[in-house]
Amino acid sequence: MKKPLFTLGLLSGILTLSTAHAGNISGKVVNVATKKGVDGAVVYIVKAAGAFKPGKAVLNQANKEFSPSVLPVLAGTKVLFDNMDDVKHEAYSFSPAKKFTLPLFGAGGQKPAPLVFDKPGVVNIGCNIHDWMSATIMVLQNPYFETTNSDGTFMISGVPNGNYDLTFFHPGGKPVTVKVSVPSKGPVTLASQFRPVVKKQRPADDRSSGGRY
Amino acid sequence: MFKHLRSKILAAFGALILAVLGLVIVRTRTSIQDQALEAILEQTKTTQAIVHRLIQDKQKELESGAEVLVQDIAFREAVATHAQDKDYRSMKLVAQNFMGRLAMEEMMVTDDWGAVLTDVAMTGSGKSAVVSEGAFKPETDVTELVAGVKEAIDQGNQGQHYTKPQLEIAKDGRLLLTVTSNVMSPNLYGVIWSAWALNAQRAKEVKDISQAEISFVNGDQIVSSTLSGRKLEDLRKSLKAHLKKVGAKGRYSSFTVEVAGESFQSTLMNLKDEKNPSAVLIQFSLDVALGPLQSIQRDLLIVGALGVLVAILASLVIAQTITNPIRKLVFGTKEVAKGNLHVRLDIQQKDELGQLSDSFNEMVQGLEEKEKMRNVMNKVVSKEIAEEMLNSGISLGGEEREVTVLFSDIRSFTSLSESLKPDDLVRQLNEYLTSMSREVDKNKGVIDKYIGDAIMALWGAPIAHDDDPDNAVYCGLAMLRALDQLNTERQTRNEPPLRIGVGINTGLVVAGNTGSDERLNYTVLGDEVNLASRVESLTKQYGVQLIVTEKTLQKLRGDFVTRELDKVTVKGKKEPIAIYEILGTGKASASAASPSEMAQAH
Repeated sequence: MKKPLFTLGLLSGILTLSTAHAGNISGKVVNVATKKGVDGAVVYIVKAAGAFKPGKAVLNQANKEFSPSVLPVLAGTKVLFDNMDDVKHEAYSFSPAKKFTLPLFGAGGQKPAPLVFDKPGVVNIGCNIHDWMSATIMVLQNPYFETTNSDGTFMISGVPNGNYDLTFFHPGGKPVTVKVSVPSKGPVTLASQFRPVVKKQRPADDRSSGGRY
Repeated sequence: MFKHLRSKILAAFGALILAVLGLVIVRTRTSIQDQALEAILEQTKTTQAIVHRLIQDKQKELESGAEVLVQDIAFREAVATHAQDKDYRSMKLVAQNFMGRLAMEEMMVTDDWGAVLTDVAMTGSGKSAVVSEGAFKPETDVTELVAGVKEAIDQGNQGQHYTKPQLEIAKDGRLLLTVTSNVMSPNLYGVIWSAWALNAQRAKEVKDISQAEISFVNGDQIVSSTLSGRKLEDLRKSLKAHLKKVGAKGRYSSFTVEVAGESFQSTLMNLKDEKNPSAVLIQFSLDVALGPLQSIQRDLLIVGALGVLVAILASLVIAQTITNPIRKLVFGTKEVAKGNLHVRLDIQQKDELGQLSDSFNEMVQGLEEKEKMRNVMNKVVSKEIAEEMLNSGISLGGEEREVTVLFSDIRSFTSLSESLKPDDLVRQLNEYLTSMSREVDKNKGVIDKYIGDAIMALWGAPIAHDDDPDNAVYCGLAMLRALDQLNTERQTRNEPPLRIGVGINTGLVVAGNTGSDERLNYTVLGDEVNLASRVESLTKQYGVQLIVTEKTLQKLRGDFVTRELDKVTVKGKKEPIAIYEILGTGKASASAASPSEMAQAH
């Protein structure tokens, strides 16, 4: 019934990975068109065996933006929503993985209690007041994940030996899954297509302090 | 064509008024028609602007409404939740709720795949609102069926908000203003499509401002209109026929159409572009615009009728003061021509016609007096003398001329007259004198005077002719013949016959008007005159009827039968003058009488 997401496919990226060291998965995600590294892609092992202990994470709201825009967390992590702005925000999500609305809160006011994200999945978060603000929290099953650096490189360390599905995720794009082994038999390259995250338009007359909202 | 002056005047007046009237009517008619059409064209332009503005404003309104809606916290949550739960009923109620708030007429919500969550339509508002199902059932994939949905989803998947206003034509032909918008919270959760119909209500709103009849048109079909009933049916047919006739090229040109007996100047205006069938028909009533024309024409006709009436009255008035007097003058003149000099005109006007009438009367009076004078004169003197006197002027002076004088006399008239009563005597005398005078006239003589029963006639005065002596002699003979005839008549009355003697002489006399200033007699004087009288009296003595002297005889041109009678001595002359009897006309001249007779005579 569900049709696959159709994409415009303007760019393509190549990822290369190597498992030079046992227990590590490292690689680089590159935009084929611009030959530049893709920043902020999440690379994660879909399923791994083990019992994991979740911790804490922070999703900040500063300058009327979420920071970071992509936040991978282990399932069960308590995420604290912080507000550095002098205006109130109301973070919300309708994603099945975590539906919530944090009532309006501002800096200096009482911070809401951290939310526990315990269901694996993608949570799209927005602000009810500032339409352009958006963030994605990826709730993952295991802690073997990383976000690429500005040059597109990443390294996931401490991976137990085994065969895994490795997924690359970039917000707004279609996730790509490849099979990897730790230790690897050799470098694996594949090209996949990502669409870059296009920031939502902000109103031109918005002022960082005071503002319309 | 017109015998009468009055008819001419009436016709002239009437023609003038009608001409002026006709000219004015034609001019005002064309002027007003042109102005009306121009005014309508201007109004049509304005109405086009109004329609454009209306649509623009409404679309902006829809857009704003959609914008607010898709970013409304509650709405977003509802769409996200109900989409996931597939709770179509709740979605419908949400849609209804928001539709009411935003004055939308139809709303459809789909999920982020383009599958319909709800499609509702609402007519009326508030308590009278009626909700109905839209065309698309829940779960129908409308990405290819509804404008903008595909784009909205595409954009949404790229993280972009999408709002697009359109002008659409629904399946049932309605013209719709629509907005398609995606619901981002913050990623794509669904698409809404809201619509607002260009219906009769909207058409009326335009009409209220522009005073035009408005119809929304899809192709050649009228979708909604300010007209209704028979007028609308008429318009449907007429529009279809007209568009068929003019084709694509003439689609947007102004045209005139009759709708239920009323004439409309109509213009079709496209709402999107020339190829798109959606359009609005703007109609202005020509009858209304030309209303003033009707009333002006009516006024002009009334004025015209009054004008003609005035013309008739004027011509009647003129008839009184002009044609009637003229007619009287014509009558008077004709009477004078007939010889009636007693006629006088009674035109009591102070103007030229009155003066003419007075002059006419004076003239005729003058003529009458002259005529009286002439008649009197003619009775007193002969016509010729009277004529001569009138022409050459009445003068006392005389002139010497050669004249032939004739005397005639009734023998023994005195004794005859004693036995008669006075009036009988006068009657008989006048009868005789009339008869004789007639002969004088016939023979171109002039009666000088009557002396009792004697007649004195002249030839050669006042006017001389070559044959005066001959005429005198012919006259004498004629007189004798006439006398015979008269005597025959007298005999039938037992009246005794009359006997006359005629004497003629020719010679130099003095002719002229003798008498006093008051009373004149044109006559001749001299011995020759006396001689003529003497030879007349000699007729008894010689027992003849007509004697002429040798002086006359010498001058005769014609042939006469004559007999010499004697020679008589004349005072102042040494030689005696021969006298002759004229027996008649002819060649032979009787020889002289016997000497004894001649001696006896001397």
